Amino acid sequence: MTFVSEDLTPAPGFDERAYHEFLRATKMFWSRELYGALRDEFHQRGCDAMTVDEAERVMRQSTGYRFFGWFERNLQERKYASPRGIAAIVDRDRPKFEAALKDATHRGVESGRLRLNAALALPRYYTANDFHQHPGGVSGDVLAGIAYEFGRRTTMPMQVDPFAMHDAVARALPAGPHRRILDMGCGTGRSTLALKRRFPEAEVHGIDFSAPCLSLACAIAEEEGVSVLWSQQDAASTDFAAGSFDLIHSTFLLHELPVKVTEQVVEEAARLLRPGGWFVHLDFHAPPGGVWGRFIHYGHARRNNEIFMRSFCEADFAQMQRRHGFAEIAIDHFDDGTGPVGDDDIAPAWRFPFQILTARKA
Amino acid sequence: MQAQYFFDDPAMDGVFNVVFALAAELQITRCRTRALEKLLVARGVIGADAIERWKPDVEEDAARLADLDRLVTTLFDACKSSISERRPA
Repeated sequence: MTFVSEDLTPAPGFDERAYHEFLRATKMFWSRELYGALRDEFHQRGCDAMTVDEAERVMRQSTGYRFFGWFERNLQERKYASPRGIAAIVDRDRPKFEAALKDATHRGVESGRLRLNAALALPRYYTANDFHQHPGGVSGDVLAGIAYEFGRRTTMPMQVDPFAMHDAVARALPAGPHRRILDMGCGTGRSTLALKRRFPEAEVHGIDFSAPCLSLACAIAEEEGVSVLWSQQDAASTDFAAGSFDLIHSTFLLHELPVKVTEQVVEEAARLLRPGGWFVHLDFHAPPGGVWGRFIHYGHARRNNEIFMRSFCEADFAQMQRRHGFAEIAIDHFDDGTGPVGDDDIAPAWRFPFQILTARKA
Repeated sequence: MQAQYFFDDPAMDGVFNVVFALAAELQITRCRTRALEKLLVARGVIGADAIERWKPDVEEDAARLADLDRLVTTLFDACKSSISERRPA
């Protein structure tokens, strides 16, 4: 699958393709068979009536849970860091990728579409943790954006098209007109491009800490002929004027932040939005499915180096937003097309508990 | 990145690492041999049932079995010392 020009698309060899196919097939087995058996055992052990921490202590004695955890942690690690992993595949073509990214970055900067800030101080919470077990994180290497984009294709094994989800989210956003839209923590820009496609008349901005991701986002947008303005900024403290945006969005940003930083982002969004402006996120805040849902989701976060997930899920995000002048606060389930959720809000196979978090500046 | 262990004895995690690696290598090899066989049949080098009907000659059979012995030794040689340690003094 080519997601941008061949100059920026990793080219795994035969053995590597077979290896990743094996990892994906194993992940599918894990998400269906191991998940299903674990769910049954969880129920049989009476864990639904426990607290999530009690349930975790009980289930740690289960051989099935040990293997479930092993697979979740180690499939992801192998995907990125094994000798046939994404990092090695990308590194093999380093000179070619670096040259192509340098050219794309130069074109972006010269055209005014891309603003990078080498002096931006990246906070320790961001640099000290390999989120999603991506070695060095998404800013530690100039090719990190390419590696992230490649890995993103198989993050959710049940999804046929990993990027279609962003268009579905964009369609679910409050209708405009939105003259100016900000996508916080935009990464390689897939959600940002979806926002521009949904609201073609809007001036759309994408911001992120990661220069490698922004350079690739700019290259992808250039190739797709979509006009977006990219800048390397901290979502908690931007250089945009107050009241200058109609819609601020993020995808999978908030749960990767310490809660105190999340509140700084909320405060900044309140400053940036005009009255009546929308603050909307695709994220995970209140995992459905009772104790089981939280047990699976918190365990996932722990095994996948998403160290701030639980604190965000347990924070009073609604009250946090109200403190900064937001109202019409809502949390809605988001269907990414990977199947229905049961009457008890429990998915029949492992999936992310996607939610749309919405608020409006009063 | 801090390692995570899922079994009481980290050796169990290690053993399963080995098992998983072997499974992955097996699948890669299966993919290659499948592709190789299909290509050879498609190009008329061998017939579709050539492998099923193949009978190694005496020399090839001996070489093949010697290779198998080497594999078994490589896989299970480490078991010898633990068995001998159990012998009474």
